[in-house]
Amino acid sequence: MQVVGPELQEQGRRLRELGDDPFARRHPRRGEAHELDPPVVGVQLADDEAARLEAVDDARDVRCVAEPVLRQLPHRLGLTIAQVEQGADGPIRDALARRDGVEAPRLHAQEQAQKGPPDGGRVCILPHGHHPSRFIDLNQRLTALKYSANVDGMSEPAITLEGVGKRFGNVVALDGIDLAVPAGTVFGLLGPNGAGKTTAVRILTTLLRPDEGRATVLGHDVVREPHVVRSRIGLAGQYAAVDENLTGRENLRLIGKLTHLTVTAVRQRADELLEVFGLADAATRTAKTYSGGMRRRLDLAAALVHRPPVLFLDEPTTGLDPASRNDLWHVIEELVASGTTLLLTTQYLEEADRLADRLAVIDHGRVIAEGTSAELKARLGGTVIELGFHDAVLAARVAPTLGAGAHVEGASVEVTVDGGPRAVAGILRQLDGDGIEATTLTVREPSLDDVFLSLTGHKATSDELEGADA
Amino acid sequence: MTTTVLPAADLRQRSRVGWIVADALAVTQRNLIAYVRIPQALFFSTLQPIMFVLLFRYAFGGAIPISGTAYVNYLLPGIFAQAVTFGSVNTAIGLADDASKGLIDRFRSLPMAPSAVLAGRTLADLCRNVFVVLLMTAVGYLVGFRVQTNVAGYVAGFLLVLGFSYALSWGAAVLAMGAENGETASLMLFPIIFPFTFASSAFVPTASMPGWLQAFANNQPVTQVINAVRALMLGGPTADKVLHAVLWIVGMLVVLAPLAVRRYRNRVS
Repeated sequence: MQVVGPELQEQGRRLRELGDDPFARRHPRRGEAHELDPPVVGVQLADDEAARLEAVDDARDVRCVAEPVLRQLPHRLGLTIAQVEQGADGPIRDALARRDGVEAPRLHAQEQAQKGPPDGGRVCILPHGHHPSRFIDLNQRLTALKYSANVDGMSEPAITLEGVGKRFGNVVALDGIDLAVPAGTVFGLLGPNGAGKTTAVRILTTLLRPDEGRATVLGHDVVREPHVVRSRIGLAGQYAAVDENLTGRENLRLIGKLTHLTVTAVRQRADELLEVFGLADAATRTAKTYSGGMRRRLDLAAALVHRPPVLFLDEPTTGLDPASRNDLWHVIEELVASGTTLLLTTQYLEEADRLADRLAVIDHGRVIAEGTSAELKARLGGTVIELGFHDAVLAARVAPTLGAGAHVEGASVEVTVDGGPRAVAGILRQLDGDGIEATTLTVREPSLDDVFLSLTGHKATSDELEGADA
Repeated sequence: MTTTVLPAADLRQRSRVGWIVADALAVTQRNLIAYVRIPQALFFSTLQPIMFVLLFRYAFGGAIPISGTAYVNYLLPGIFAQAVTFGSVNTAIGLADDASKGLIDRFRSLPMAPSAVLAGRTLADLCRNVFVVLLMTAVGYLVGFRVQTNVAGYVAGFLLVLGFSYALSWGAAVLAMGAENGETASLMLFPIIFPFTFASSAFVPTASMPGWLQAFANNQPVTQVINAVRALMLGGPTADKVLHAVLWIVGMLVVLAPLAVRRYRNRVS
């Protein structure tokens, strides 16, 4: 487990030694939370690290611990975790519930208690955006602040698949998949039709039982505790699963009732989501009259009615026109900024590139590559050079002379090279020497399309046109 | 936009049984809204039993000898059963369409009672059948049908038909959970519905059938329910017939409802 604890402790210690830390505020007054934005974040440490963490006793230390970490962390943070004195999380949670109408879950508090909490303290999680000064304000003694960061392997994964396999008759849909999605991050499952993406999502959303292996959501086994899992997840699928005969508002209210919200919450939540998703004007129209993009937005809104901390989107934009797709991406981006863990499947590399923190490429039910989009692109080497020729025959003749990384696309040839501009010059000199003239020259970064091609031997986008027409 | 945590105060507390009922009613309401909003669907589905009334009353009826009462009186209890039997196709189509549109997947991913989707559909169709049977009674009266016992007899027969329709809906649900879409569901259901409806006492006395068919016709649920309804509405000994009908209804419900819910929970696609 990668831990940033020691640096933090060091930083905190040094700032304390300085004594008159300009940030020091023993008892911030109400309303000062905004001044301290962006929210202070702690770092979750491995158990042994946490045990060594010095007890610190006021707001200054909280800030000292958090400040340097903030800069290192990715922009999407799921939760702020405060470790408070034994038993003190109760009043804090109550006070926050009264003040903000939001309850801090006790999830990790329980897990921590089983492991034996460090310093005899308890851990309490606050939704992202809740400034710790809010508890200081409540005169609680804060001993440390932690954060479950979405840095590699640091946080408890929100979603796991361990050796998950699934067959349908003789067809192997999933062939022993392992994945872990850290809380608060966006994970993209990328692959062509039939690769197993949807099967993985269906297993994680309790719609399908795995034949082998284990899958969990927020630590809950999808087979043994399906009901708990269902209360924590939202699912929006390939087909906008809305009732055409109900209005937008009725659709959301139905989901609200079925997710067991109170009557007041059902109404509030439906109207709030209609507003957020730009459907307020269409709230009283039946979904039958909605455009494709509006239906998708309603479908996504329906998945969010009960504010699930983990969201699954199965090809959310398949079949949408570019403008609607862009709209939906915006909505999804806002959503994940608020800390939701998202697992997204897509055939669109652009979509994965734009939305996902990490990606897994799957083909024939296996993970064939995993990493950030940049990492996957880096595997390909530096630069893609695209050369256009007069005709396909010429292109086909030239390609083999440009090395193993070259492949023909109609009348053009794409070559992936390591050396950047120098390599471009080399290729041009070579063509010149052979007396061949290229009509166009494009130099670009490798796209995920290139990655996909090199990993699977076929383009991910071969189905894309069909998908868009459907 | 805050999405991460739901205030606990927004969650409603109920007992397990309370949720089973509440979830089913929420889905029932949703299905009834569709019936109200597309009255054409309801209109056209009542057209067919009306055609049956008219055809058998005026076209075939004259050739079917019935002892003890007018053919139209004999016919109507048969029509009630035929209407709800054919009507069970609506249950199957509704559920299979929900499945093909991904709605069943959505419902299955929610923390709701697993029986609710099926219970909500069958309850909505029960409401629909109340309307259909009342309408058929009215049409029957227009063409000469008269209850020959009393109001209590009619009401008891009416309830029996509805109970039977409810049990049939669950049977349709069992089938629908294996169907790809509404169209396949109705194609799967009709080959079952036809022999049960026509090889019964609905339109002709079973005594006119060959022996082997009589053995089936006399002992299958559609006939048993119709015979009980006839006894209740037209007179004659009722106790045994009603008991048989009720046993069929209860038996079907006990077997079919859990089976349908099981198939719903274990759906693959």
